[in-house]
Amino acid sequence: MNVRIRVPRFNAETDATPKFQEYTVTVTPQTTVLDALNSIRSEQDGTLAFRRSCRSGMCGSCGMLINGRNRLACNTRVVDLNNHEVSVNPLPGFPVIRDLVVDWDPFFAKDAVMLPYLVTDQPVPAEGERLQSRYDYERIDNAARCIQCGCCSSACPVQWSNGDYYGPAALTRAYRFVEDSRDTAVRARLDIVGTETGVWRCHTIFNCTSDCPKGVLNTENIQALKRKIMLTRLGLGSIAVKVHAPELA
Amino acid sequence: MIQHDVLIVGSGIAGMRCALEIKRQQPTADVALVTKLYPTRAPSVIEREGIAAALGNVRFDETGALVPSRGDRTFDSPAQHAADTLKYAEGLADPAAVQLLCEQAPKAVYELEHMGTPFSRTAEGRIAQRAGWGHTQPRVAYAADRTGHAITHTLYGELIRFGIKVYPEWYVLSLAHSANRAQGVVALDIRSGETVAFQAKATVLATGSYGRIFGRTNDTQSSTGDGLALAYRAGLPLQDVELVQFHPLGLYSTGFVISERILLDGAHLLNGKRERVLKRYAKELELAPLAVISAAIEHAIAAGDGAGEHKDHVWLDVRHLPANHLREHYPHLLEYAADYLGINPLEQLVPVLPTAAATLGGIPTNLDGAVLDAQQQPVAGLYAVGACASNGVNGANLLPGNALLSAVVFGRRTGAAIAAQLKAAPAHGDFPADALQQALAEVEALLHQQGDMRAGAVRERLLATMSAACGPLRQSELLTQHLGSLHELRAEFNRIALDDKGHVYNAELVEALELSRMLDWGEAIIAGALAREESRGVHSRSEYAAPSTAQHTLTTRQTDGTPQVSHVAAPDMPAVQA
Amino acid sequence: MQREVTSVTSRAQQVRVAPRAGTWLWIWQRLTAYGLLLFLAVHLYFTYFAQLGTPGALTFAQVQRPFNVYTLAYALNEWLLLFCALFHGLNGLRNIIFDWTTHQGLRRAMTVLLLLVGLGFAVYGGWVLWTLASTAA
Repeated sequence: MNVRIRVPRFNAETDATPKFQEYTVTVTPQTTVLDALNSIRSEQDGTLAFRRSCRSGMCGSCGMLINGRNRLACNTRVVDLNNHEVSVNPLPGFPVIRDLVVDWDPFFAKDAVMLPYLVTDQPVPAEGERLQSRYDYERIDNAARCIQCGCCSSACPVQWSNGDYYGPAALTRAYRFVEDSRDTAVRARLDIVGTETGVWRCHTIFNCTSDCPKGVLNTENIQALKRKIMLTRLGLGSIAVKVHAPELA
Repeated sequence: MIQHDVLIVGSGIAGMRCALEIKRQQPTADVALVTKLYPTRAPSVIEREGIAAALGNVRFDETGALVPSRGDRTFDSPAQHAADTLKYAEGLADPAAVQLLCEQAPKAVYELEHMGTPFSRTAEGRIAQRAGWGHTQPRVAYAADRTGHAITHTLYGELIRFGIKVYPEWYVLSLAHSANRAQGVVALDIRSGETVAFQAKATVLATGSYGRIFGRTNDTQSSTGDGLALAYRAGLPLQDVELVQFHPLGLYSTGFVISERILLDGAHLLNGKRERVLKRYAKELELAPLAVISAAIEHAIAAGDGAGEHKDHVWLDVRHLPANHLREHYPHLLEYAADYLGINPLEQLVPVLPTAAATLGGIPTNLDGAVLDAQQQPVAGLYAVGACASNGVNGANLLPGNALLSAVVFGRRTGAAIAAQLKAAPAHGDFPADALQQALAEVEALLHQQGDMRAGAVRERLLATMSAACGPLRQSELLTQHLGSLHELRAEFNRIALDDKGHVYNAELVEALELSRMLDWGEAIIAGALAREESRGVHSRSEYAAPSTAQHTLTTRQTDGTPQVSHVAAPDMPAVQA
Repeated sequence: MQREVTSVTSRAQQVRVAPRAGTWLWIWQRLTAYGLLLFLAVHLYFTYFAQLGTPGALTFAQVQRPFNVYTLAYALNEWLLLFCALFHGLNGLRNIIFDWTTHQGLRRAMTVLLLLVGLGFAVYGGWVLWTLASTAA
């Protein structure tokens, strides 16, 4: 089966607007969008720039806007798009460097603001691990699946119009540590996210949850952060806030 | 020129753990990582199974089920872990290295937990562990089925905590050395196209495995053995690079590994006639050694018993296993099958065939990570850690969970050694004047090379050649023949022309640079496989069915570019371990 | 031009951090939403449902009748309804503005403007309601 793949060609150093180019690629039922892009680069046009690495949906390099939705090119099969025309675009809302390659620097900088490491005043046990109940592990399991592919932040209309918004990926990172029973810097992180560039910019559009390729409940996490901040401000910080994670198929 | 005290090439688990240890022990040290990816995108994230350590958190009960150990941890020990590892390594591992690895394992895993790695938990709240192929006790600690991902993201957080500098998307072109000392590297900034010299008192290669040279592999598209190329081109030897572990359960079309645990749980392998593949090859059926299963599948396909339209694979049948068990323990199987094949393993057969799963050889180092030259002497200022290093722990086969473990243990140990060295370190040496010019010249020549070949076509043929020559079963005739084809491919590389002559994010250029390096050290794999005239562990030669003297192969690049192989005796196994 | 390379940490320091605000606005946005439901229900009940039997088109007298009966209590309900509608609507508008611009000066100016609009209407509405209540028969 032949499909037409339409991609923008753009170089931030020389172009003001992208030009679109179409390639015809022969696909099998197993061909992924990434396979198709790889075959374009190696067989048709070496100038097509895009990122890829692991092919198995774990590294987060190949997040792209594919037929109107943010997905990973590597685990999206062309046949599943049910279309003979595939339009591939860089993640919206990110500065584009070239073709499908976006600038990750602002994205990772926001992640770093969230103190993305364990901060705790629990002493390191002399021997063995810190204990954590299965229940407490389940509380961070969903948020810890994040692969930083940017599909969520890039699907967020607030992020499109307001580049200062931390975005769902960074806020989910904050949530992952806020909910970690071993972490004691809850207040510090709530202060970081409880700002006009943080959780209060979220209007529960749910694009970030629906476009996450790993099933991370981004919007739900942000709402949980809001409730946590509110309860803390009202002096009711001890009340637990739950996100109900449905079983993934 | 950019200067740092320590420069680490690669940002996977080994590289990050090494950087972290240097910074912990020597907070004033100026450590930087240079990577062709971003740290959270390192190939370490695909490591699913776990990290092995004799923590003793769970044990088998009388029925063979896993239960929390309730504080009694005497049933497992680092010594037993070492014994399992040595047995599996089939005489090629260094007992001292293995002992060190297994003794440091619990501490290394606990440290990861203290840093916040989200490990799965037992009912007692301890780090969850499960059984692993070849482990006599359940000692593979895991974080769901994304252990590598969990550890990578945790270590990335530690880099941020310590303010360690990362140069993302830089491709390292060459090692700079002068006065018998490594002086740093020359690297290409992929985003701007600029080539820059990095000077360092210590240079660490942490570039991971090299499985991408095979057509069907579990490895990422980035695992192109760049560190091997850096050492090989600098005249340093590569050790045991022909040892590549093939996994029988590679997903058809992508080569992703499905955990071998599923065979322990009773999954069946069926041929095109829906008969058990292994009935004719092994009396233990699916519980035979993985290398035997891989070879059996290859035999069955060669004999025309393959399944599917092209009779080019076999079936993995898990339909008789409880659905809940599969959902809980093998989410990756269900996810892969749905995403890449559009099938549901609970109701349908899954097409599989052997795939390159782990690479066991690499740059020879001592136990402090110092790179050894052809005379077995350490090269001053040059270190290698993780999957690109060969320090004797791997031997001729690799236990599940030991790859992540050695990245963490030896990353840490090498970091400590470097930190100690830095205290007495000299100032920066003399950066070789021509290193930058030479690297620049290579890039410019490649950009402007005229020719009638596409880099992609040469790469496809390289991968096909390597798969044909160095699969699970190796024959002298094929090896010799393909050593020749590789030689031809090197000549063809000089006829490629790039479409992309630009400087900004020239991905085609980077892929061509990777290819030119794979063509170099790819020969070392075939030459090593030819020189290893025995069958041992993952290496099977059809003409030599039995193991011969335990020895390492050391492959060095001669001035004309061809590989030369020499042998080094492997350290003796202590009698008690046999 | 060599790309400026810094650690992620130092780049993180360049991320603009807005003042710690928004919690109370968010809480009030929720509270006024509930308020709208409650006070609008009361308002609709007295101006409409309680007078369903009355023939003919809606007249000023009908609208004024609840004031005659309940006077201050009803006026208070109407003012709270006004307050909730103003707060909820204007804060929503402020959110939209904050989504669209990151310019701190413009944000502050718009916040002040919306606040003045809100206060103006609240006072004006209060004055009208007081007039209605105090002149009730």
